[in-house]
Amino acid sequence: MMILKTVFAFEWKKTLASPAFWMASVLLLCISLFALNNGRNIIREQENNIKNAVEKESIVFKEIVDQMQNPDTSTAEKKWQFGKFTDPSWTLISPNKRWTSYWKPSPSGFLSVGNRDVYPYYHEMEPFSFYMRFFKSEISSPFKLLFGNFDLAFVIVLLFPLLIIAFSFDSHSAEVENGTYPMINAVSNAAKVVNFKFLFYLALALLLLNIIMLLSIPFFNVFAFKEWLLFTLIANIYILIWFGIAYVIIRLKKSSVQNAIILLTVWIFLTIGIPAISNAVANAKYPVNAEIFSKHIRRVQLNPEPAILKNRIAEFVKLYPEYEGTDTTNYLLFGKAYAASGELNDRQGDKALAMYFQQIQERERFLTISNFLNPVTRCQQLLNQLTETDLQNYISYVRNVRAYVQVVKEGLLKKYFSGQEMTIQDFQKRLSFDEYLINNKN
Amino acid sequence: MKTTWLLIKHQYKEWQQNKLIHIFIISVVCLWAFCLFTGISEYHAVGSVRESARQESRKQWLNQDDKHPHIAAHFGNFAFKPVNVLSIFDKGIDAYTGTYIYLEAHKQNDFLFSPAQSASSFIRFGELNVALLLQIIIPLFLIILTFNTVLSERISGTLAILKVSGITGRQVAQAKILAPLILISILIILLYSLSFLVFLSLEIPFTIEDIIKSVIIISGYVVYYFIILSFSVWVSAISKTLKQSLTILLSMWIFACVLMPKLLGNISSSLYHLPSNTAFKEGVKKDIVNGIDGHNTSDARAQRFTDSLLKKYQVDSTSQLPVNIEGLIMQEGEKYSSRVYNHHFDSLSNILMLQQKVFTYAGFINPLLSIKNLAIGLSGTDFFNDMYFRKEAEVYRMRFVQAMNEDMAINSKEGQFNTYKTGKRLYQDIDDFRYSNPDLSQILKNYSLEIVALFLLLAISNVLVMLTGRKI
Repeated sequence: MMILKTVFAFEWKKTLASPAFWMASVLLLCISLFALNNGRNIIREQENNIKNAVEKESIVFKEIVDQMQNPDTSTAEKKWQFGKFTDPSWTLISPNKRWTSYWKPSPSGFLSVGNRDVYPYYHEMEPFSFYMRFFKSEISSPFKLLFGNFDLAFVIVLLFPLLIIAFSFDSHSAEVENGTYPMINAVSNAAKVVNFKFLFYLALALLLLNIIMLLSIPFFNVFAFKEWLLFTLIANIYILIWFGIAYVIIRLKKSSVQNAIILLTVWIFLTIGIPAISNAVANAKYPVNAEIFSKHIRRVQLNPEPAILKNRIAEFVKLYPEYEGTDTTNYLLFGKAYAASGELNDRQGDKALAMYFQQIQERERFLTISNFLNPVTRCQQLLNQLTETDLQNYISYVRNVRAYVQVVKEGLLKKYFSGQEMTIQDFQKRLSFDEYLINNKN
Repeated sequence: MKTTWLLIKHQYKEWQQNKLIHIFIISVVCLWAFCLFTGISEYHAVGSVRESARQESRKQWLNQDDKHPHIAAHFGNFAFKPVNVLSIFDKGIDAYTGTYIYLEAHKQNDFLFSPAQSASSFIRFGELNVALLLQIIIPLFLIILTFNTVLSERISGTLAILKVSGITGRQVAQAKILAPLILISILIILLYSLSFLVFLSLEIPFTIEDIIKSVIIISGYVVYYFIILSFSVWVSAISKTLKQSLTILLSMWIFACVLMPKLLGNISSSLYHLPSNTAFKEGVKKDIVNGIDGHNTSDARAQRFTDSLLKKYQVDSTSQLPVNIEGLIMQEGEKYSSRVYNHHFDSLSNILMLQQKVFTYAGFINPLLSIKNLAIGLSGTDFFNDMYFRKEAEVYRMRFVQAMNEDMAINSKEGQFNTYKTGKRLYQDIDDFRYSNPDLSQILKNYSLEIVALFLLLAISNVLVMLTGRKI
């Protein structure tokens, strides 16, 4: 215990007197603050874009409600305009309305932005056909996407190991190279002293990490204690793993230069080598076919031949037998066949989506297995899972949007195929994406 | 120069017994072979998926029912981004840009499905390809090979012997830089040549221009390695200990290759802010309805156009016109909406270009950024290529939609929207979308500042060689 205290006191004094330590600490602190601020800005911007899209949805539907509440039927055109509001097919097919869905950022999302900036995170949907309008790209800087987000997860996952390497690479060899190792052995146990020295740097790294984690608290919009605590825990364990790696290498008792080269090689191998190799293999072995959706993105069109239209309705009725015998006289034949085509397009598209997700999951499985023992990618994965910025979270968002659009569409199809009219209440109390998620949870 | 050559030869003799240099060469060759294999596999896989999707889309277009030309214009076409052969070496930003776009009347749709959208955050760790090997891994090898190059000669006392023999410090410095430079240059020239032979044997199509581009890329890398080696040897000459030399060089490598690009990517997008997709589309929509100047509504434009036609043909009503006014109004509307879209797209491109400039200027202190930009530009996987593709797609959209509208204007009468139909003959007149990369001179023009930056750093490196010579 005495030796431990002495080593800690000596190393503490030595560290405090070292300009390199202060420089590294201040740099790390500045970088972390930048990362926290940058992460928060990315999430804040996404929140604002979601808010604007939701507001626009409200405006569009409010205009419809206003026009229905104060109808102007003075001219034939205005009368026709009013008439269309009550027609469910207009709500279903007309492209000017938007049911907004969004992938809500979690309060801790800014700590590890993950792939949130790559995936489209809000959608303005049309119930006629999910696949015709779902796919989009958010405008973003390709340079930023290429080099990745500068968030706290990056600082912890990639930069902290470098700090650990800098702290520890010569903890044993420096004593040998400076000739102090035999001197310490003469008065005490040098191996023990080196171990305590190593322990001191571990404590110092953990101290720096936890200071940074505490600094992250004011960056939360709403403090999520559980997520923050888990994030901190994962980060601490990750640091311990890296010290473990460093300890094993230092125990090989090589020179400082050799230690530095070996440790850096390990860092490159884990942060760049293994992930880059497995990504290259995954891309070659598990290509994902997104082009398959082109068939379902293309605008649904119908040949107006009555026999073809009736056939389309018959296909639809097989899926929805409750609409057997629906009125298909005059213009209703084309309208209903068209509405049915949207639904049939989505049913076909569902198969493509299932295949697409299956291909993605197969590739992910390969990547997870090939990186199973890599602490770097495992840590990044865990942090993304925790902050809900990972692929699986996005996939579940897409599935939710698909299900939401189906619920909205089926409500409108029911009205249309049962000959009911749209009411003001239908627009005012329309199902929002948030409500859908809450109902679905319950 | 003769002395320098003798020193280089001596260095090679010394390396014959050096395990590190053998590991270095074998590693580069193995990694190159791996990159080439995975690059070609991906090129084939992605290329065949896109090609079959293109053929399927074309078939659908040609086999659609007889219908009104404007409805056919709404059925639309697809533009699939072709895969460049040089992307086998360098995928650039291709993983983060879309792969295809749906082209239809009235609407400029999004460029969909960047490969990154179907991936997890694993993709952010990068993918091992030839570019990563050349830009990140080989410089690290070069650093490890040279961090002790002058220092160990000094420590072992051989440097003093060389000086006594009349060899100048500058000659030593030149030899220390040129020996690894010649080695790596020969290695990458050989590997590039072998890769093209593999392309030939696998019948992967490439052009003479692709070879010229590769030669320019290789030259760029030689300059890049010269800069790194000059700096590395200089640090080795001024450092007091091996530890100090290695620490300085590795810190620089981490800063230049890992930290700086990420930092710049984030800073540039904060400095030059991009609009959201919704805001962009709203802006386009608003300007189409109200006019770019805000005082020229679509209704007023249509009315003015109708009046001008009536005046031109000296008739009182649109039904007396020899052409279908509806088709002409649609043509005018399409022209205007495309003009508005291009106006907004140019503003967007300007913002992206400003972001790109941050990397260009940073290339004056970090050669990695210059060579990276130049290499992805020449490989056709850069931001400019993406921008040109989108513009070409919009030109194609305009062309086929206008051809449909023209058919409607010439061959149908006003009010025949539900009765007039066109068919296969017209569909066949619309060529399939084909995109070709910008020519070499345009690419070099886009990256002229990167080339200047590399040459400037090359000149500074020469000064560094002189300074190193004085330190030895």
